[in-house]
Amino acid sequence: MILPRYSEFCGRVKTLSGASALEAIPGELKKLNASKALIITDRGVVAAGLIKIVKAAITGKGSRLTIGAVFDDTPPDSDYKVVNAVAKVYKEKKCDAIIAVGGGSVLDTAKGVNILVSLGGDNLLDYEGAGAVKQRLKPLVAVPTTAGTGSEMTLVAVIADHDRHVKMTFVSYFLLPDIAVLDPRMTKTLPAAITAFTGMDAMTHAVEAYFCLGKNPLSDTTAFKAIQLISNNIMNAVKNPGDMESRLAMANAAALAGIAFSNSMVGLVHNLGHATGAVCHVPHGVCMSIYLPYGLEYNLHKVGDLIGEILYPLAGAEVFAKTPKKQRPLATIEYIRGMNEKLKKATGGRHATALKDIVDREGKQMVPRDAIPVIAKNAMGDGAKIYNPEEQSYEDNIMVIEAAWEGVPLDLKKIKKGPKKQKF
Amino acid sequence: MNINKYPEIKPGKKYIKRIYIAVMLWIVGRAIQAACRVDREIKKEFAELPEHFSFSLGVLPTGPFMIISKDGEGRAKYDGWKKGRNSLPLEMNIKNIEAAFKVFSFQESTSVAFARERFIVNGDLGYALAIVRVLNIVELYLLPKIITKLAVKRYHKWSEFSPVRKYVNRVLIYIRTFTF
Amino acid sequence: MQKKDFYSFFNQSKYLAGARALEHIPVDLKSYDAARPLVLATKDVTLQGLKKTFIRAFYDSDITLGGFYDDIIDTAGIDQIRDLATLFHDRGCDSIIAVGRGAVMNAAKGLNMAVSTGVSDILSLAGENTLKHPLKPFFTVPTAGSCGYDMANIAVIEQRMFKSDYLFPEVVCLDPRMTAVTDIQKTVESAFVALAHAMEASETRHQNPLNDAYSLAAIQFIHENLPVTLKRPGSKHAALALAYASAMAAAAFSNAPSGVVHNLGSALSQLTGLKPGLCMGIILPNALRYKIEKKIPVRDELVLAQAGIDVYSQTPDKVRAAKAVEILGGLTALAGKYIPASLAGLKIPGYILEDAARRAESEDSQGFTYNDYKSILTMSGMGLA
Repeated sequence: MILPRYSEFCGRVKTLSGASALEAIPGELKKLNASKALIITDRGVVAAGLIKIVKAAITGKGSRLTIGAVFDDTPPDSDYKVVNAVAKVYKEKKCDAIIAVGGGSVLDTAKGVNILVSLGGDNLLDYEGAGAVKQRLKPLVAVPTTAGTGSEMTLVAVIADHDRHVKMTFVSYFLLPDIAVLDPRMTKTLPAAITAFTGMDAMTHAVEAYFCLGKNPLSDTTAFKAIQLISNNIMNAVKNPGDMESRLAMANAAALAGIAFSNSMVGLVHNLGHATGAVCHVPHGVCMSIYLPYGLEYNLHKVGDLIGEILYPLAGAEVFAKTPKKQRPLATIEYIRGMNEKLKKATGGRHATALKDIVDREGKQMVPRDAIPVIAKNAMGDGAKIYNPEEQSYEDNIMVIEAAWEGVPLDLKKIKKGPKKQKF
Repeated sequence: MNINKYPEIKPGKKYIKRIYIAVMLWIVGRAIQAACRVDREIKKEFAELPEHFSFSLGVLPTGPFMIISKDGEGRAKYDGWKKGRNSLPLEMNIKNIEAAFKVFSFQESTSVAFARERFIVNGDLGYALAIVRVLNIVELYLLPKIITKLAVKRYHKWSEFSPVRKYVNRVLIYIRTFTF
Repeated sequence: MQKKDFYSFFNQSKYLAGARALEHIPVDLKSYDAARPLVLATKDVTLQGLKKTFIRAFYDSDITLGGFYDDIIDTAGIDQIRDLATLFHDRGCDSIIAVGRGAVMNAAKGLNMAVSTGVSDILSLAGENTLKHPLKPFFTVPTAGSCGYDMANIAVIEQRMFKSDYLFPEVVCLDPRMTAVTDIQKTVESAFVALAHAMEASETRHQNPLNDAYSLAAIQFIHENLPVTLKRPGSKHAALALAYASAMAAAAFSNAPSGVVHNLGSALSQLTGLKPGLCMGIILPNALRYKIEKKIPVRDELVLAQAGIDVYSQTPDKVRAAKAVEILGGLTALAGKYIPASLAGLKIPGYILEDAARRAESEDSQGFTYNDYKSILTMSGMGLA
């Protein structure tokens, strides 16, 4: 295992996992001296009936936890005004803990609310700028409802100020949730296509974490476990949505991948994925699964050995032993392409494997060919490119996006290669 | 217990490393100003940054720093090594003097330093990336290939960066950096 | 009640590991709004010149060390902690950094309980989960040869055990200048404590992916780097990896019930005065062998961590457990100069061994009986009458 010259790792989130993990929340909150929780969520989560389950679980027999209020109007793009409003509710109802049930924007909002209610004040803008959060905040419980983003393990909160058209980023270890709850009941009702692309999103976190520049021993082992769990369970979770074991495994994988990538950072796949999402409004996970094989091909000459090692958690010991060492990197890429193809079949074509095939609900193409230069340009301003082993210029981006648009493998000969193998 | 046996220890100073870094920052700062007038790529990067943009690159907690701002004509201007009280749109800080020394003695490339969490960036990361690109090009001009290769992920090929452009601009930038 | 598949995992510590890690401490202290740490260290830290290195790391920072107390000797005592608390308050400190191993970590945790809770007699806090609130920022800078509890959620003060998640260090700073091997015997012993803790934490019955991530990484680092250290004790890289392994093993150990090797090794060490690492090192391969004999499942992924993917995938499923024992045997043989292969040469009287087995049984939470423990001791080279 590689011990880099210097690395940092922090996975400071208490993880509760299991078919009845939600029921453990009151006990854990009691340990943190909290007894009245504010639930933050969004309309989609409520419509899926998940809040009912959460409420029943945390106020069940023996629980002293009460629910101060439920805020279910979190917008998909978390806004500071919403944060201010929710913080007011928290104070009015005299809550002493926050439970965030939902995806990334719900959790971001919850983190923002936590800053306000813990540090005082009534306007989040007062805490803008780095380093404002320097003390423990109120207990925050994250209950993810998709198995993919891994945002329950991240220390960042992105909150928009729509008046000024800026996104404020708050970074602090104190923003990490105190508790992440992985309960398969929360993901049981996810439709097949979403299960597929969120699962591949987590896969991308883990795979990139394994070969990007910030890798470290613990991001390696968490990434490996995540890849293994996803590879073993994703097809079953897509085909048999009610299979709780697979759902729990996927939720675990997403959390592990979250730990891995937030400590190791990610590269080209996320870079182009973020850009494509920003320009064409394609869901994050969809872009990730399409770009993943390209990210591997692009860095093959620098981190081929590492990519070859990924074959073990992906395909198992038998395949790994049978494949000669030299062929493993390409076999890894082949295997991931194969997974995407299988998922495409299992979802009736909804899991796209090329950018040109992504369609919205009306069946309209979401990434037109002439968007490629815009995406390539946008990607130049996305932070993930720093951590990619190989340099990425605008021209490189064009080359990769064009291949991903068509859905054809990269021409390995055309990749401009840096001089040497990557050292960590 | 005699508590005087365990006196308080105030942090000392590492003068030589500080001076080295201060000199490097001065040269890089002046060179960015010069290169912005010579190299079209850097000119373009600065043109795309917002008006009144300025940034600092330096060492926590007390510096030295290098301040660059965008002047009225959209060009880079070296603004000295002292940071005022107000925060700038972009502040790239290296966590400590030793980490800064590793970066400025080319033992760690910018991206590796980022990966090793030596940097703290306040402000829009997109701007930071533009600055990193500028720094990479400036290094290409200032330093011989053998050192620049350590500092960048991939050294430009001839076809991407013509030797004529490199050597002519290098001379121009050197002259502008060291003359007033 | 929770179902069988339920698990929880928690590790508070952030790791800074590698070149110039010490110099990163000021920024991390700042993130806690702390600026005046009290530094505790063992005398040998100063004697080895590490005090100087440590203090130099704070040059050009805005951190003032409230004091560098380097008179911690063998065990953490309550009187000393009281003195330290006075020093802490006197200097207006707001955080604690412990440099060294063993006693200093316990003293620092004790001090932190004293200054954070305000309780006058911290011994009244002994036991599990008695702390109700987070403590002050507590950073550790381990030197080579951790005792196994150093970076865990455990403190031992006046032979009383304290266990709480609030006792985890906030930051563990692993700097190759500090973790360099000074006493190879201690380093090897510490590696075997970590190995025993990691292997037992990863065992089948309470495995979970997060605990695996820590324990398997620790096992891998020890198997890769202990042979290097044995051959070239001066290798800073290997020493750093071993220290990292100790940290990860401590996190895994904090999240799993203690296993047979730990129970038996600690009991034997307490009764004989032998080092825990020595006892655990001798018992570990034998305990594994015993489990295989008794058909108690042994994790086949041990081989994966010990020898890498290639060896693991080429070893057929059924013999992986045996292979794990074989590889472990190879490692103990390499360390033979420091860890004897059997208890036989140590001349431990039979009644003490019986006592040890009894004491281990009383600590056991996994259904191993006196007879199991006795048999493992017998296998470890000492027949019991």
